[in-house]
Amino acid sequence: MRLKIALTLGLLVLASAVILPNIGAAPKAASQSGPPLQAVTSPNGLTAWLVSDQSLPIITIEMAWRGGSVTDPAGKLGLTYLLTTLLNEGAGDLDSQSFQRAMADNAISLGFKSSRDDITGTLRCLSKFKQTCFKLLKLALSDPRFDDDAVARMKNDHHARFRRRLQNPQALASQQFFASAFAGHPYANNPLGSIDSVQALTRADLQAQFDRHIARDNMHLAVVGDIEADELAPLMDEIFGALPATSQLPDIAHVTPAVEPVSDHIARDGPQTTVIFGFQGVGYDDPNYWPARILTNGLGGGSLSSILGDEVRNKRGLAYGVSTQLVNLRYANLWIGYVASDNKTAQQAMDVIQQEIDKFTDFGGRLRYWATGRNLLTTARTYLTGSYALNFDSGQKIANQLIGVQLLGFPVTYFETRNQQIEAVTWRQTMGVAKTLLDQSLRISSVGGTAIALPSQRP
Amino acid sequence: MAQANDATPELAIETASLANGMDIIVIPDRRSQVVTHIVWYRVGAIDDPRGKSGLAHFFEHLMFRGTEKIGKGEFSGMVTKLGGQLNASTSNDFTNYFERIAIDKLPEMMRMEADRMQNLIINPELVALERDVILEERSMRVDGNPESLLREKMLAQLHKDGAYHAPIIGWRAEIEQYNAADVKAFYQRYYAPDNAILMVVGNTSMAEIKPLAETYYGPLKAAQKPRTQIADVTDLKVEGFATPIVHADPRTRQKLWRRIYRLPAYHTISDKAEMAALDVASHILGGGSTSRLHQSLVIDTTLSTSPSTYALNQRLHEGEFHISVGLNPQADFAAVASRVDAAIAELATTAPQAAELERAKTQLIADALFARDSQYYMAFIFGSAAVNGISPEDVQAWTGLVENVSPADVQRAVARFLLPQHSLTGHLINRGQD
Repeated sequence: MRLKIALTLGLLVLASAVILPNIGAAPKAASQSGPPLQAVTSPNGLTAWLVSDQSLPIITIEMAWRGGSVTDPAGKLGLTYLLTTLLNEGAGDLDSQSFQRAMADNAISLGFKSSRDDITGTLRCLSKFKQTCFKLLKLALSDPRFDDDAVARMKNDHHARFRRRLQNPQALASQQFFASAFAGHPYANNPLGSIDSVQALTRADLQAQFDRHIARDNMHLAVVGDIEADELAPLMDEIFGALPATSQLPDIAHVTPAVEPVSDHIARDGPQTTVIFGFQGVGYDDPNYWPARILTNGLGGGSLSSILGDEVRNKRGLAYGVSTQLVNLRYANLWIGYVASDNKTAQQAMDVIQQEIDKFTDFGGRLRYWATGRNLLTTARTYLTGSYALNFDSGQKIANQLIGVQLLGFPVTYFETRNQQIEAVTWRQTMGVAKTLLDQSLRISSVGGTAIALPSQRP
Repeated sequence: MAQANDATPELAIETASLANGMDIIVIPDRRSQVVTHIVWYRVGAIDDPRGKSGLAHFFEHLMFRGTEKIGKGEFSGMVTKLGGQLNASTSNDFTNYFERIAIDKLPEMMRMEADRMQNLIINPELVALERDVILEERSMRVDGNPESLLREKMLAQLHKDGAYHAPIIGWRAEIEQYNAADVKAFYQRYYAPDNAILMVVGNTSMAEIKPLAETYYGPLKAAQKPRTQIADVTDLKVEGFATPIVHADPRTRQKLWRRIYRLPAYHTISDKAEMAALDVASHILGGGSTSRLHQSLVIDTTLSTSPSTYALNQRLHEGEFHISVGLNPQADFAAVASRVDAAIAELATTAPQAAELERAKTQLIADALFARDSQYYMAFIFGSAAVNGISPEDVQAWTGLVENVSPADVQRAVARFLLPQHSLTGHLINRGQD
């Protein structure tokens, strides 16, 4: 049965183009009551994180390879994206249609995606079809065909997606923000490249990127569902054992977003202006990460009760969606915000946001915030710990968590220690981080009818 | 035969009612200590007063503004502080409010949800503020999105003066006319226990839930003002069906062809197997890369990259069947239309191959099982059916109906439901194209 179309309250409307998976950790409730997490090692030394759970006859395998569209060679932008769309389009003796039919006949879902930093794959199958399921995965990863007709079709598919994104103001604003903040670094590039760059790619380009990228040393595996460790261990070697031992990806430099404030604008018809704004963020490995996360969540987490939700939406009716978040890429860290407001009120909305940010950094504002701000930040902290369990209430979500934490390079114990780290954060730490983090000048990217003025350009 | 669900026993779903008329549905999910708590109301965009389209959705927003007990805007903060997530949604036929939270917080969620069912603060200031928020939502979802504008135009003509003609979010000029008196009347009529269904999904049972529901929802008074009965549509003919609606928008970068068919209301179909056959037909036509439309429009020609189909066949008074096809730049609309028409005609007159029938069944039945991985999907599937009078048993019987669909059933469903005179076609173009 299909889900019906419905409008939602839109609490979590965020700039999807810049969002990474929300990596949380396992709540106490989940780790105490749920099935245990095991690290499984194969006879040949591959490792996977497994949550074995027989309550549904479903097996989910999440795969990830470090290195995403940020590794696209110069002049071949969009290559990693195109590669991922072709990994279920024919392999071995199965051409595209035969491969797709084999998946459909056995209700197998196998798909690959790329982000700026990683390639990820998801395999989901019913237990009764698992043998076919694993065979198809092995075939897809060991002998992709890249047939001319499939490549031509996926290029057309890319072009359609590229054109649709040009209709999406959030996507336009995000890409403009990245292009400006990271000028000169691969993060400035559109992960989709362009229609021309993708059209020019060849079968040889795809094969070369596949050979460089899909290897064992940059791979992570997470498995959830109806499978036990003793069945999984040899299976890992069977499926992934023949991949090259080492990937051959370019070194990517760490980068900080350009610091000088700018306001870039793309004029677009319509009643509303969409704005992405931000500056340098805080890395996961930084001791200030959790204080910064609590602060950012309290300021503009995806809830009506955040400071910006209250000031911009509830009190003034200036926007439907307003939010802030930390965006952690492998080679850069951003603090990013989003708002969309009528062309007549977009500037006012941004002024309100700037005022709320300033309250954390100027002396008088900090005094005023001591009481109310403290309350809001306490809420953010209890939300971050209390809601962690919600990331573990389905097999697919658990698999996403297991792969996400591995991609961050954290140990299995992260799921136990994460909430302790958050609970240890003090109010003083959070306000200390606020003073420096929020004291940066915003870079602004807008799409719509109103170019946003920087504070320095305001009367 | 398709047997994807043979290893899966029926879900032991429990139902009950309170003395004040509130229905209760409990869906077991033993895997975690997270619970999903949803209240469904039998009110949606079809109940919007004349000239006030979008009021049901607007009202959904107001439910977060506060009551005497729960301060201004604090509902969301209270749930957040308890580590919960919440949201709400409004559809043509229903409105729902949900929280996902640790199971020990369930009584508190019931207390809060029961409180706002009858104690909401409504005044002109709040109405004015939220009206601005809704206009921003409309700008984001519709006015800034050429595909949404085409869809809105098509539905307005497809359903003409019927219950489903106005957008769920409402027409801009009508949103601007909302006032506190309309809102209060709407609230008093529809927000009452006898117009609501309480649903809980999680590691619990009716034996635990019913006493809690008695405590929190039991004292609420029935309104005894059920929604106005709208006559079911019997004549599905669409005026001007042969002439496509064209939406020319300078922001369009990707041309789109869309076809929407009107379907009879679910409850007027005496043999539900016909609807199951339509779901199977939809899958054969447009279900992914092995479908007939994919073969015709993507592989045999290069007119499109990703045709898709879906059926809204459980709606209260009439349903819809959608086909959408994004066009490659050189493709023309007439070629797409004639290929889609040919594919439909072929399926109406010629039996599908055994292999493609089995493939469709296997996938549909597997999807029903995969949905069990998510509390929210389960809640949505059973809840959106229940508000329209479709019982959990009927929903669970659906996979059995799908398994029994014969090739002739598929032909009959296509021939019966996908009639050109019941449909409307739309073209999304850039200004001056085509």
